[in-house]
Amino acid sequence: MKYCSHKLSVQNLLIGMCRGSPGVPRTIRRMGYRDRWIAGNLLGRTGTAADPVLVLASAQSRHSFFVEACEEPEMDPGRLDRYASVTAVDLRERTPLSQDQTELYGVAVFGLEEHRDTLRISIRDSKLKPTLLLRTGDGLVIDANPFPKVALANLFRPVLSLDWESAPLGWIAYDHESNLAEVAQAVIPQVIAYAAGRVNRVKIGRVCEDHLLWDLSTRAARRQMRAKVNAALSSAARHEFSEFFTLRSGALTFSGTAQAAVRAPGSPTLKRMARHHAALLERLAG
Amino acid sequence: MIARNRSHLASIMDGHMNRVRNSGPGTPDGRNAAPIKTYLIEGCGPLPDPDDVVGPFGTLRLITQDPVLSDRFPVRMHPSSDPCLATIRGLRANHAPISFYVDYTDPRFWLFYGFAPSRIADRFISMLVATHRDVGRTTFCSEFLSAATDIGSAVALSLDHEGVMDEEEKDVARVPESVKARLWGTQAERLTNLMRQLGSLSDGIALSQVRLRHSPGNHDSERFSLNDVRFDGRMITRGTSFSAHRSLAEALRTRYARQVADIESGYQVRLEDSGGVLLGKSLALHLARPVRNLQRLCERIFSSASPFLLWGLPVQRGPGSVCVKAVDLDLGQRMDLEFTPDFIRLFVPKETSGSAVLRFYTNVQHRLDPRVRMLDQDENEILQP
Repeated sequence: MKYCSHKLSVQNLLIGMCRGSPGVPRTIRRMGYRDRWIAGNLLGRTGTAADPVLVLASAQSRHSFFVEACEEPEMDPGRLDRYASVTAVDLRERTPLSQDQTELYGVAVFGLEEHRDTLRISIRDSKLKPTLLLRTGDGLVIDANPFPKVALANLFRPVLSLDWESAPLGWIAYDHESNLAEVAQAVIPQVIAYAAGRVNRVKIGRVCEDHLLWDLSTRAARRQMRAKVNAALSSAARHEFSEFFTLRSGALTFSGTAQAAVRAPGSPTLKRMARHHAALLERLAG
Repeated sequence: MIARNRSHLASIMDGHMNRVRNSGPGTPDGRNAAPIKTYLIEGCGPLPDPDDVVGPFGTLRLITQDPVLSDRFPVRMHPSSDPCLATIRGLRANHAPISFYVDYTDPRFWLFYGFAPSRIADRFISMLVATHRDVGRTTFCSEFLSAATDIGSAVALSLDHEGVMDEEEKDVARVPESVKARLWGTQAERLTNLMRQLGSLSDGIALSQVRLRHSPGNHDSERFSLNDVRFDGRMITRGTSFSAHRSLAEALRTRYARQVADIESGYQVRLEDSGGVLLGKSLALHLARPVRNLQRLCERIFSSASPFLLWGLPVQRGPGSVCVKAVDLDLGQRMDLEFTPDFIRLFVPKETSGSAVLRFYTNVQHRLDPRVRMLDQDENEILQP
């Protein structure tokens, strides 16, 4: 999928299913599942803290599951092990999850169909016995360790039909693990919005703080995200957007051309800017 | 003329309404006395900075001191003894100055009253709002105009639609699909409803203007205003009483502000302060007529030109899906949109005004599909007529 990783596709899809976005199945929503986010430092010790984790939780089904997306052929056992020490009491006392939602809880790994065999081996060795769901061309199928809630498991049997090309992507645009094309696709419009808002200079930190999950991210994740935003904008400033902004000392400054263009809707310069954005994404996507 | 206070403003406007009534060929005031124009303007974004001590007057002063605006249209601002009323005078070489009276009783949604000819007033307002972040024009969707008829008596309705947004390039020689109609009389709304039910017109009409006769407190009074409330957020007013017009304009402002607040509280995507809960629901425009050419439609919408004023790069995800991370150039705010032939998903970031959503929706009604519906996550209508 163009400029969108497997992880973000899965996250956005699950949020969309919980929030009733058109074009995706609503069964999970009808079963009471809602997306919840847990700050990374709540699920691990300092230094080995987990990154922000998406949880789907349902008081109605008295069940929650942590979502792990894996684009690689194998699942890093360390990523699964960090849930081993998490208790129901931890979840109730340190996270926004309620007692009803944590009566039963587990981990679900969303992988790719082409990695079925290696992923099966990865999760077989895990003490957690996470549910394995595979992304196919037609949707999502359950492959191993079905959810303890039969109704939920049956949703993915034989397949939860999905059109991946039209699934929602707008909830979370990028994260600290995104590639540069994915980051640039989101942050270029963000900085153009600053210019259109008559801001002449904007710090990279400010651009990062606009990210929806910034406040929940661990320090390490924030560092990674900041580095990627900086790299994407720096590359744009050196190449396609060199006539529109410069990037020095962690701040982006708009040129007179950019400032004049955003005040002239429909101008050829704005159209050129869109073409440069396309060229930037093509180049970064390699 | 500079308004000293509200009663002085009423006297200026009443005098002008009187001139409009008496104007025409062969009259002392000639034939060019233009009716009153009122614009509802968004004066700041959805999240005003708590440390911002500038306030509406300061923002207006900043706008009037903008060097680019001054080059094109030098303006001066004059306070009044009323803390929420000011006069803005635009100076034009070899022409009489034009005046706008700004009521910012609501610090976010301001009313601009003036009586310059439409072309000049529109140009002036467009330049004025283009100078500052979070200041922009508003639009009234069909549901809003339809609901406005319970404030005043509807005596005329205008309908239009130009369905040219998703035509193929090669079709440009073809006469574009369009409808324009104006219905007069107090039963115009019934006739409109009937027309909407007719199969032949079911694709092609959106309410673009409603003429409301308003006479607060006494419907038989000779003190009244006759207001053409247009979908582009402008009102054109004749009649005998400015206060009758002002009470209508203020009622519409209150309703509009509520509509915007409802969208922002329900649909802006944000994280709850205590963390862990993502707020903001799904918002979608469901199209009655499937889009024929998504890529073409998106190229036109995101060309950054009027009326959409949206900049963005349409990214084709597949034959039936295009996503765009867009910038609203009017307000300098972001909005993510995902298009399929049957619906458009909207994602509204926390700093984006509900006005940007309403403008997009109104423009879709007039340029793409008059029967479009804005639905929530449970497929309920978000905007009730």
